[in-house]
Amino acid sequence: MYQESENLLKIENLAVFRSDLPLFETIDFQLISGEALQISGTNGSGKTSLLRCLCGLSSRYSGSIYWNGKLISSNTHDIHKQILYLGHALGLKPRLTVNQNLSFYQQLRFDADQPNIHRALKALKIENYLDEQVANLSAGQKRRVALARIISEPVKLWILDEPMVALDTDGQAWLEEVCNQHLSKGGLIILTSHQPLKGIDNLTSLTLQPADLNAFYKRLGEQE
Amino acid sequence: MSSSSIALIKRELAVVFRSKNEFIYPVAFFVIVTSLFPLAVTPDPVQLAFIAPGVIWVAALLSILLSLNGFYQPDYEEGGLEQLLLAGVSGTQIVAAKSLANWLVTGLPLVIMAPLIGVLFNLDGRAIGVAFVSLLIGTPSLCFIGSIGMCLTLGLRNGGVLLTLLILPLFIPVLIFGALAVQAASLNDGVTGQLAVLGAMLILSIMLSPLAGSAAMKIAID
Repeated sequence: MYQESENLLKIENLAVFRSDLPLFETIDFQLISGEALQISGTNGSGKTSLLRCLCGLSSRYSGSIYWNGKLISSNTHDIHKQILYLGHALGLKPRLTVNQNLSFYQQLRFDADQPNIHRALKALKIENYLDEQVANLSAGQKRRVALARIISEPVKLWILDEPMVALDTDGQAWLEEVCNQHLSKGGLIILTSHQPLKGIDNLTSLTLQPADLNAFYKRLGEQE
Repeated sequence: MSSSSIALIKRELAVVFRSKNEFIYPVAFFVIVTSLFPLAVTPDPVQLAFIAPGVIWVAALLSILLSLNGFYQPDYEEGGLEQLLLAGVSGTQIVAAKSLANWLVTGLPLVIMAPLIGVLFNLDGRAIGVAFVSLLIGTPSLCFIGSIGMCLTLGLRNGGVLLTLLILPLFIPVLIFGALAVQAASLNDGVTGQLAVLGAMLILSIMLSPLAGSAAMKIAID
């Protein structure tokens, strides 16, 4: 549930690696309650890898990530409780119904609270598909079901990887509105998107610059 | 057992009962393979009783090997595993719950079918009883041990062959003592020793494989 205290995500000197090579130039930023950050960059620039490091799923990074002053690498459990991460793979079981999928995740984190799920689906205009198997939904509807979790599971930090993909203009407007509500309640949002998100308040932007591999090799050589 | 483990097991079972194919295939495989032997090898009751322990155990082992993939690979590809980790479920809980669910839908039906196959192979009453008990103790070990191999091969494109290579050596001790117990029973020998070893392997696999599986899963997701 929401805490009244301020929250702070601080990243220092962060580099993310794939096959032992850095993906982008090291970045520093901090994000406090009520702020949103849009991460942009070309395809393959490491946006998804960065997000996975931020939520503690991946440890292929150097530098430090602090959540409320604590390193996330040593407090993974704490930060997991406060994060909702939606990636390209939505984490929905195609054979289960919308309701089964959503209430499963909700029960894992919170006490069962069905009205929240109904409210979320209603806001997303998919309340008629409550008992439909996820496999039978369209790509956009699946995305809407996954996004319903940002309503049904109230946590502080949303990490959304390309949340606008497959959404129609209605859905995109809804998402921007919900993001603003979340920010005004003191939430934090990190998202990636290739389109400009004009509707979100307090949005700062961070563009990932491809890493200079020559300099990286040179530094490596100097160390040896 | 914590509430999240129970929720996880319930979800696994719900998925399996929705797609009944996956639930029925391993059991059908077991029945088909075992019932082909009398047709292909010999209909002679004495010889059938002689090969029965090995046939029943090999068929059970292979059908569990077949069923493993469906419990781990889809969840990995759909992003379910990382969502579970993010929802605060530990890797050991995930592996333990999945192994248990795997046994409930694949292992348990095999155990229940085994006496029927025993009758088909002209096993006497005591040997049928021992076959039932040995599978009851042995098949859960196979599900738990199999989870290690599944977690190690998550995300590999041709994980199936590698899985077989990794896991079969670990399955062999269970197979040997399981088949040995049934054989001893059909020869009217004592079976306590073999069943005790199967029990020990069950305890070991329940204790250790969730730890190993969880470590392997985290490498796959990293």
